[in-house]
Amino acid sequence: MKLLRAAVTAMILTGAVAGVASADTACTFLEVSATTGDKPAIDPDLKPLEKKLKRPPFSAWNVFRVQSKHDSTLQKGKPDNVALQSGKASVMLRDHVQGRVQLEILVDDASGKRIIAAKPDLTDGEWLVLGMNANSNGHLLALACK
Amino acid sequence: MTKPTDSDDNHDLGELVRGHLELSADDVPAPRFDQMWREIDQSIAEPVAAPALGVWGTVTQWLDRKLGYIITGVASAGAVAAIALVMHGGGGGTVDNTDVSAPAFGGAPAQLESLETPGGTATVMEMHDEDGDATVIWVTSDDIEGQDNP
Repeated sequence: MKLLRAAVTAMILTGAVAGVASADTACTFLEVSATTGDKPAIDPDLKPLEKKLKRPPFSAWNVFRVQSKHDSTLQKGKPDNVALQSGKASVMLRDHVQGRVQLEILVDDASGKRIIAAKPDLTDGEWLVLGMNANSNGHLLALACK
Repeated sequence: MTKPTDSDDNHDLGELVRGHLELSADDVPAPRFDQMWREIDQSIAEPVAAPALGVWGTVTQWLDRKLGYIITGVASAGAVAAIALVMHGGGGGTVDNTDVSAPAFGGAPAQLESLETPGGTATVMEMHDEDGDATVIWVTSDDIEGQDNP
């Protein structure tokens, strides 16, 4: 009987912890322009991605500037609208359990046309980079949650 | 009397095959050999330098060369997501997957339960280094795909 009680208590506590995690997911959203310049430059905010930006396909450019930055705490099921310099995006937390962040991301271009609708399942702290062409330049949206 | 070993058997078999090949080679006329060598030389010759590509051409060329999995158009999301994957340059066959993981270069990949890129082609890749993991979804607009210089 004691064992059963302990098991039920553990299940309730586990559920409570999972619930707290779902309700409190901090995300950083960076809008980045990728261009080519005489001198390579990577914005300090992009330090966690610096090495990756020097590899293909990003190595087609050498100047990466953050155009807008958006920090937010996502709540499960509530879309967070992100105003971009070019277009708009929406991020919604679907779930956050066992170190996995499940999101729904919608990205529209400046004319309102949907470019991406994705439901990624990422590990905590993993970056998701959405890349699009903008003439000869690149337009990147980088997102990480934990 | 010594019992023959596996090594002896292998040696004898090798001699037999070699002898047969040498006899077969003697039967091939010299001009035919010349032609074969020309074909081999051509197949291993240095490729002709490709014309210079623009920035976007460089990106798309890298994506084409490096990544086999291209997610096209509108990928549908069902109860369990199903995404159409097209082997780029591999005959255009379509495969339905119940769960799409990015082609990983190492480590546990992120998962995409659904992905829609209306009007574009998406390439999904994983990048790993000491700074952590990143999943990249690159969307090439259908309007510019194939252009070498934007």
